[in-house]
Amino acid sequence: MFPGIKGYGVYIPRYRIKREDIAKSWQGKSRGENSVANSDEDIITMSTEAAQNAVRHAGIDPASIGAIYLGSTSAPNIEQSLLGTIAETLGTNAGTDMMCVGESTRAGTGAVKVCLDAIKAGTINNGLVIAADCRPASPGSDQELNFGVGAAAYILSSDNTVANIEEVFTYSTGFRDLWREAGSSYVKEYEPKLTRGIGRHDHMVNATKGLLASIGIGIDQFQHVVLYQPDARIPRVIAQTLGIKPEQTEKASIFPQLGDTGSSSVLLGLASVLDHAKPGDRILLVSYGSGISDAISLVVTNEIENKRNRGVSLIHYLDSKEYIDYLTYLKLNKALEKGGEPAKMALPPLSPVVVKEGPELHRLIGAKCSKCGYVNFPPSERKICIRCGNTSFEQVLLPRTGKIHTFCISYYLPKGMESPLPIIIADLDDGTRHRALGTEMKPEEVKIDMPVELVLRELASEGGLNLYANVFRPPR
Amino acid sequence: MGWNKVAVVGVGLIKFGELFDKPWEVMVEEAYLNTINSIDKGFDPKDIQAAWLGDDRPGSHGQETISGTGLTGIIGLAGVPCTHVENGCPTGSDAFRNACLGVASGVYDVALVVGAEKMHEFSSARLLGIATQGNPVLQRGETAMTMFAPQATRHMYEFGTTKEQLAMVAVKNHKNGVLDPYSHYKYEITVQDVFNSPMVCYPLNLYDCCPQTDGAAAAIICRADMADKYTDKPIYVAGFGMATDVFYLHEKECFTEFVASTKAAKRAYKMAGIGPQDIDIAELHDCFTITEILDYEDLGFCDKGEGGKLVERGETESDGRIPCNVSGGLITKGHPLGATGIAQIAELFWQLREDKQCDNRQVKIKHGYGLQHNVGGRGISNSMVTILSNRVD
Repeated sequence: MFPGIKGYGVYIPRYRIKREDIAKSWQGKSRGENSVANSDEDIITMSTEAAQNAVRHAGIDPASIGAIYLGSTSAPNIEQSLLGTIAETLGTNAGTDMMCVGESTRAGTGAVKVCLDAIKAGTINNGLVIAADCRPASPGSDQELNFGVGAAAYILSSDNTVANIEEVFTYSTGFRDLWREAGSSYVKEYEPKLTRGIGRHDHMVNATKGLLASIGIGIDQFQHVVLYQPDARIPRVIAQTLGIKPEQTEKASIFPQLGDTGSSSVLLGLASVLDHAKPGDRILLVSYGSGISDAISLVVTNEIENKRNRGVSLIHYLDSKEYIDYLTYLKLNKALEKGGEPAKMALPPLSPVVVKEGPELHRLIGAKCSKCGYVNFPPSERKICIRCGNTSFEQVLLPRTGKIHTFCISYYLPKGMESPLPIIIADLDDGTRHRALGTEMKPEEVKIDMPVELVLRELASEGGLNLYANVFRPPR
Repeated sequence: MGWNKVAVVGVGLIKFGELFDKPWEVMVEEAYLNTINSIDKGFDPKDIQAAWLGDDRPGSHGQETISGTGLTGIIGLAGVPCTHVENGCPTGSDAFRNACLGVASGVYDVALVVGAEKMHEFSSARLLGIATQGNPVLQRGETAMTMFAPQATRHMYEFGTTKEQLAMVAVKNHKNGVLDPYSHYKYEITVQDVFNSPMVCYPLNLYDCCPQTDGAAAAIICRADMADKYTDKPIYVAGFGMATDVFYLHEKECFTEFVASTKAAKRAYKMAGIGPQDIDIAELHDCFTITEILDYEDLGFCDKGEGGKLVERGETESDGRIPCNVSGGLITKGHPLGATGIAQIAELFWQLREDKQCDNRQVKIKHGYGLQHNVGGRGISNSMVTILSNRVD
C-alpha cells in the first residue's frame, strides 16, 4: 500500500495588498493581490494554525505524530529550533522528532520526501509536513510585487489516506538563482530571465518528464496539475511546453489571490485541488527552488469524501480578508519602523519563567481543582487552588473559543507594542476566564459578547528572540 | 466605639506637580518640615521613635532598593528605625496603617510616616515601560489604564453607566481642585472637554485619568492618650481595613467591583463601629473616573450599579449628601503613589478639625467621621480604607 495524505490544512493571513497599490508607488503597473503577514505573524505562527487544521482534518491525536518536518526559507533565526513552539502548541509528545528543511522554495516538497521515506522505512506512522514562507521583499523590487505568504500542513501516513503518493521524481543540477545573505532580510536575484528559463522552466519540465517516464503514463492522465507559481507567467509557459490544458491547472491556481508563497506554493495549490478532487483523480505536483525540482504523482481515494468540510478550508481563508494600503504594508514588513528605543522586557523571551510556563501557555493547559472545579491557569504557578485552597488538580485543556466578557483598547504603549492594542478578557466555552491581547480586530468593532478564538502569535521580540503566545482574534 | 488607639497630631504636604526643581530628598525634607512645623503645641524631632516610608516606585527615581534609610538618613533622623513600604496605589495609606500598628503595639509612642513619589525623574515614555513588566505573557501590555478600563466597559454594559457620568467625576474633581493649594491641576473643565481630550485607553479619555505627578506628604502619629502634648484637636484613627484579591486579571470573578475595596471597607467600618451613613467626607481613589464610580458602590455610598447616577445627582459634590474628593482627588491633585494616601489623610485631618487650612472648601461635619480609600496594585487587588474621627466615643 502507498503511503499518502491522511489530512491537510492551510493558513492564509487576513491581510491582502493589491499589487497595483504597490506598483503605483513605484510608477509601475500590476494586477492581482498578495497575502500579507500581520506584524505578529511569522512562519511559526502560520505553521501552527495550518498544522492545527491538518490535525483536525486527519482526525488524529496530536500525540500520535512521530515527526514534524517543516519546509521554509524564512526562519526567524538561522540557528534555534523553530518547531518546538509549534509542537508544544499542537500537543505532540517528547518522542516526536522535529526537523527543518530549508535552502530554497523547494523546501516544502523536500520535507514531504523526507517524511515519506521515514514512513516507508517504518520509523514513524503519522508524520506532519508543514510548508510555510514569509519572505519580506525589498521595497520597489519585482519580488515585492509577487511575494505572498501562507502555510500548508499535511499529515502523511499509510492508513486512512485521502490521496496516495504514487511516485516521486527529483531533478537536480548545480544551478543557483535566488539568494538571501546571512543577516539580510531581503531575497536577491541576479537575472530574472535566467531564473525563469534555465531555472524554473527547465527544471520543472525535466522533473515532470522524468516522473511521467517512470510511471509510464502521459500528462493527459492527470485531472489536476499543480505547478510552483512564482508569478503568473511561469505556469503558462510550462503548460505550453508540456501540453497541459488550462482545465488541468484551473483548481490549483493560487497566484492571482496570494502571490508567490515560496515553499508553501505547491502545497497550498494541492490543498486547493484536494478541496475539489474526486476519488480516482490523479494529481501532478511540481515544485522548484534553486536548481532542484520535485515532481510527485498522487491518486485520490474514496476517503476524501468522508473528510470533507472538517476544519477550515482554503476558500474560507481566501474569502476572509482585508485590504491594506502600501504604508501599512511597509510597516507590517518592518521596512518602515517607528523611531525610539523599545521598552525592555522585565523578563526576556528566554527567562526561566518563560521556559517553565511555555508548554502550558502555548498548549493552554489548566489545572482544574478537584474540589471546587475552578480552572487555575497556568498550572506551574498554581499548587494551591486560588479559589478554595485545595491542593489536588486534574490537568485540562482550555477551549480555544469563547466570548468577550470585557475589554479595553490601549492607545498609549511603548515602542515595540502595536497601538491601538485591544486587551481582552473573555469567558472560554467551558466558562474559564482568560485574558489575552487582541489581534486583527478594529477598535470600533470590539464588543462585549463578541465571539473570539485563541491563536498563536508573536507576542514580543527582544534581541532577535521571539516570544510566542496565544492572542484573541475574531473567528475566521 | 471606634478603635481610637492612635491619634494624628500633625500633617504636611508639598504642592504636587511636575517638580523638576525638587529632587527626592528635597520633596521629603519639605513635607517633613511642613508637618512638624504645623503641630499646634510645637514638636521636637527627638520624640520620633520609629518611621515608615511609603514609596511605590523607588526605581523611577533611580533608587531600586531605597530601604528605610531613604527617609531617616536624609532628614537628620539616622538611628531611628525605619521601614520602607511598597504596596501599589495604597502604599502611603498602608505605611500609615503599619505605623499605627507600631504605635498601638505599645513599642513606640510617636511615629513619623512619610509618603513620597518621584514620577518625573525619567521620561514619560519610560513610565509606559510598565507594559513590559511582570509575567511576559500573562501581563503583557498591562498598565494602570489597561487594568482599570475594562471595569468601565463592563460597568457601562451591565448598569448603563454613561461616558457622561464618568466625565462628571472629572468635572467635579477639577472644580474642587481649584480650591486646593496643593493640587497639581487648578482649572475647571466641562464634560465636552473630557470628550474632546485624546482617547488614552478605551473607554477612557485623557481627562478620565489622573496625571503623572511628583509629590510628598507626611504625618506624625502618637498614642491617643498622649495627643494633648501636641494639640488640643487631635484626630483619631477610628478604624482601618486592608484587603487583597487575586494577582492576575483573568482570575477576577467580577469586573464591576473591586472586591478588595469592599472587604477593606467592611473591616474599617466594623473597627470604627460605624457605617457608610456616618461618613461626612471621603477622600477616595480616583486614579480614573471609573474608579470613583466603583468606589461609591464598594464603600457603600450607594447601591451596586448606582455609582454613575450618584455623581449625576450631585450627591458627591462638596455640598452634597456625601462629599467625595473635596481636595480634587487624584484626578487634579495628582497621584504620586507613595504620597497619595497620606495626602488624603491630611485633607481629612484638616476637614475634621475644621482647620483654617481648608477654610475655602470646608464641608459640613455632622457625625465627625472621614474616610480615606485607595485601591490598586497588580490585578487592582490591593485596597486600604482608613476612617478618621474628631471624637473618641
